Amino acid sequence: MSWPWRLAGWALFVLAGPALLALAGQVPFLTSGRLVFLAITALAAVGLCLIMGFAGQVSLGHAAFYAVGAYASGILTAGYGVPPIVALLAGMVLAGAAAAGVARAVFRVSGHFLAMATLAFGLILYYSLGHFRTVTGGNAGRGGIPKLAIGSWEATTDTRMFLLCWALVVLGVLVARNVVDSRTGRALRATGASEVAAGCCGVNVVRAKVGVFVLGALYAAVAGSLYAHYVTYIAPEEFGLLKSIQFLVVATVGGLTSVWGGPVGAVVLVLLTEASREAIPLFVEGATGPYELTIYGLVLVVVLLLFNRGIAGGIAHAWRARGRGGGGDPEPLAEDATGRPVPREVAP
Amino acid sequence: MTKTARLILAGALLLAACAAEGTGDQASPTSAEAPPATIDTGTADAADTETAEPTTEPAGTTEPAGTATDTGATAAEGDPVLVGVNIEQSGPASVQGEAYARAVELLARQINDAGGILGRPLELQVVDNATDQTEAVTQTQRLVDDGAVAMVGPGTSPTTLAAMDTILSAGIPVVSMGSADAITDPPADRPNVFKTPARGSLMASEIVAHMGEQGIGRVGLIAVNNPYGDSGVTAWEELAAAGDVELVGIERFEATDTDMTTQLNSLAGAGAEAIVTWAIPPGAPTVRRNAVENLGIELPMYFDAGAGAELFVELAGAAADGALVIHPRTLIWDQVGADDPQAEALTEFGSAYTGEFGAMSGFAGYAWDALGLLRTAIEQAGDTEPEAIIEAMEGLGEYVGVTGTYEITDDDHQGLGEGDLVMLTVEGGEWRPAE
Amino acid sequence: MAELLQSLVTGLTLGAMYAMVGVGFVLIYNVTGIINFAQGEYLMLGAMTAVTLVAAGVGLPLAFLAAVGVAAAVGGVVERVAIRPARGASIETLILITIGVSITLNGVALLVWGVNPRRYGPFTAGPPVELAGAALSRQSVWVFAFTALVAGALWWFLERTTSGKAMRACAMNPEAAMLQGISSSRMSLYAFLLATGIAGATGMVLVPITSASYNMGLPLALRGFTAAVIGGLVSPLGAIAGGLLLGVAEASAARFVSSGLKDAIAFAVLFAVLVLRPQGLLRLRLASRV
Repeated sequence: MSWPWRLAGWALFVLAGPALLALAGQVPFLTSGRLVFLAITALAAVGLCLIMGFAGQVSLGHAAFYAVGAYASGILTAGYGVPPIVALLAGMVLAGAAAAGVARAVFRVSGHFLAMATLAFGLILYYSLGHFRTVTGGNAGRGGIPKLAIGSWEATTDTRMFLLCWALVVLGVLVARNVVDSRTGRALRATGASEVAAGCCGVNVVRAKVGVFVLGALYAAVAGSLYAHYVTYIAPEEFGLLKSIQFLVVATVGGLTSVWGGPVGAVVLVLLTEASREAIPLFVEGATGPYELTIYGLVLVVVLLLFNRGIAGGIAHAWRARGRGGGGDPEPLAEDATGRPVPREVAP
Repeated sequence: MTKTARLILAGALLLAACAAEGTGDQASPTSAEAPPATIDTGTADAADTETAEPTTEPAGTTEPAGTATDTGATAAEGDPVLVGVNIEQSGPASVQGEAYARAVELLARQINDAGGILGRPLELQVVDNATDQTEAVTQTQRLVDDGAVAMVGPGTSPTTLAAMDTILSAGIPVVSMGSADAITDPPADRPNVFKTPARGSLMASEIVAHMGEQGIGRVGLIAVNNPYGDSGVTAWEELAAAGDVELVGIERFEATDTDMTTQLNSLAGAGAEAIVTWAIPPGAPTVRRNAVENLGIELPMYFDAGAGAELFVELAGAAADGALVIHPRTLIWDQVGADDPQAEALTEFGSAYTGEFGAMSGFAGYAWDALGLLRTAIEQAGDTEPEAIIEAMEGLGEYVGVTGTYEITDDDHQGLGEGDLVMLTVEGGEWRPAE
Repeated sequence: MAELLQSLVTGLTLGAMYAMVGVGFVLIYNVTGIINFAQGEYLMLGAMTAVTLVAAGVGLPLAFLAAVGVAAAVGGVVERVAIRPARGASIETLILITIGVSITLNGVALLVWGVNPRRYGPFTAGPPVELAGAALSRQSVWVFAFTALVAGALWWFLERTTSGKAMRACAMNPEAAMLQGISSSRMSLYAFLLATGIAGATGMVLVPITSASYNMGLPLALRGFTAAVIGGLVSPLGAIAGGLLLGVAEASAARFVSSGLKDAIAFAVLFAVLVLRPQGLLRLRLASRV
């Protein structure tokens, strides 16, 4: 893609943060907290896009690493008085180590089996968080977590917190972008097409995939840490299967094959669900939760049937075409030459 | 070709979302059927400044936001008093959420029929937090942004504790229906938070008192593996540590489990003289059914107030008979004597609720009392200033609710005590006071 | 000893439930290559339909047929509307579509039936059956009988009927099957109808044990899936054996390790099987691939 187009894209992305803040002031359903959660979800989803779109590994346990980040922050800051930023880094280290261990174990299997192995890992951690009460606070959770502070700067207001989170999202996408364009990234794109071929070219496929899985987990850990410091209370229910599914929905709707998938998915889904929450009572009197649930499910199915690249994938494709296809943008990997996604794993 | 079509569709979806925002803006706050008034749409402008800096001077910002936008619109009849209701209408706690929603909407209708609050109509804004912690936070913010002067809910411990930071910085009075003691304790750190359900420790010590009369000392505890069960486990561990009771075992089960025979066998095998269950339906009735029908356990079985009312009887069937449940008097609202101080409140609540919805729910009373407390406090305060309401709350003296007689002070934001709970049992599918 | 036996009996009852859910996963996975996350919702639909009808005074046999009918009808429609059009999409898309279906069915059930769990009594009333000191509830006996019946019927269908053989052919080699004039599209529909119908029937049989509520599907689906994986995810009989094994493992964990950790242990078993023996613990030769 030619550089003006690329620059325009980034400018749009960076400015989207303040724009959302301005919008939040005008629209009653976009509360400041909703925006903070949006940015946190987007950040975790960028990591999931890397794992799924660029390493081709389906993960149904992303919330586990989110939990590791949150609990590391919560326990270290509230229990031991460690400064938040140090706790955040500790959470990243822990999540990275856990991800490396899991990745080495589960990458022997692929497709649905890998998805289920990550799901099982997430559930094991979830039930353990509730069980080991002395460490985690159990199901009742753990409160008294301080607000995020970096030196003397404290994220005491939602606006500050959101801007910090959005800055991290931008940074996260930037890093993801560089990884995708790096030597490892090119290797990964090769593996997306064919593991055997990549192996023949001297690319260590397993190591590359483990690396991306760890990197993706780091995004989730940071997101979890931000969550803990924003809400100041953590309990296992937030880190269960439903959260993993939420990340998966955001990443997939946004577009797994694009580094933009996370933020785009988060923004689109929040706007859609919140708008439908406001709109449904116009048609059905007294309509509440159950209607939202139904509509959410239907929208999810329809979006998936219509956009098999995800929304960001589709936009990126069109954007590329307009930018006269000048090279810079990586071709999505989980797709074959015809633009169709590669066929699913055949039953073993 | 198809790609362009998809893009257009994406755009259309987004546009639809934006269009819906515009229209939704006008109609959304009329979510409760009860209130006669319609709310103005101007809150968005007022919320503008708040969203940016929600933590600054919460006491000051909420009220001006409400009045600034309200005065122009409906000053003649009096501006509605907006009370937010943040509950679990879907998700794992939806059984409670439904009862809460019914109770508050019923009471709101009664209040408005009787002339509203401070002569102004009471307006409820009921929002669903889906038993989700992030939703609990954002829905609380939404209610505050919309100018709610007080909030009922959230209805569980995790949702309340997750929203705590937002609740504290908003500064409006909040009455939660969550069970955990940490919701209101210590009151110095929770100046604007109250709760209606009894403390877990109160329920446990009342059960121990009943056991003492029967000469029971060795207890097996079976608790659901969620925050609710954790509150029970903590209460019993404290009693055991204090030497009031001997715990022979603590077993857990998942809220979705359908068979607890293994856990019950372990407790019976460990020599328990009574089994205490800490859970809400469907777990609690399943425990009872497993013990009676599958294992033929004849030990006395105690349940905490979460066991639920009609659901317990419906799901446990004939096995429900003989179960002992520590509960507020709401389940025997039509059996209390006329001399009971709560008689009037219970009759009013019980006949209205069962008249409208058929069966009584064990959870409904908590939300009824939450809104009732707020209404009385607002009336006493004479205005809707948060600090005035909180001060009135703490100075209510004895407030006769349906759950019990609350004595809320500045160092007890819960207010129930001995005598507010009774031991109930089931006879032929009906609730009766136990011997 | 009696206590050990009781854990075994409890475990087998749980296991039979998981087995019936697992069978549905295997049928659909083998023919279409999809892990149907919504599988538990069809069980819920069957259970809720039956509870509603029984409460209205309908007899149990009719309620059973209605439960099968409703679940299979919804399953068939979902296959045509949501699954079929997405054939060839990536794994994550397919997984998410079934999750979307699951959320939708959940929401619809919440709208139709409300939040409260409901129940009807066992098919035959009476005290539990005594087995050397262990008690077995009468409904558990029904569940075992039902499991045996489904296992037998499936074996007969897959091994002895033309449609069943066509379905197996389709699972083994879709291209070759197509060359033989077998429509993979039709087989996919048949697999969904069969799996969701079984799920509906299972839900109806389980109501006296589990109660019926709108959100009963997901936890059972997770266990059913685990059962299917332990059984190797290739044959329905493997899933049944896997379910029984999982049930016993769970009851033993609750009895001898910690009831608070039993679910973590159950999923640790799933994790271990997936990582160490993805072909399944039980490579049964009892029946060939679906």
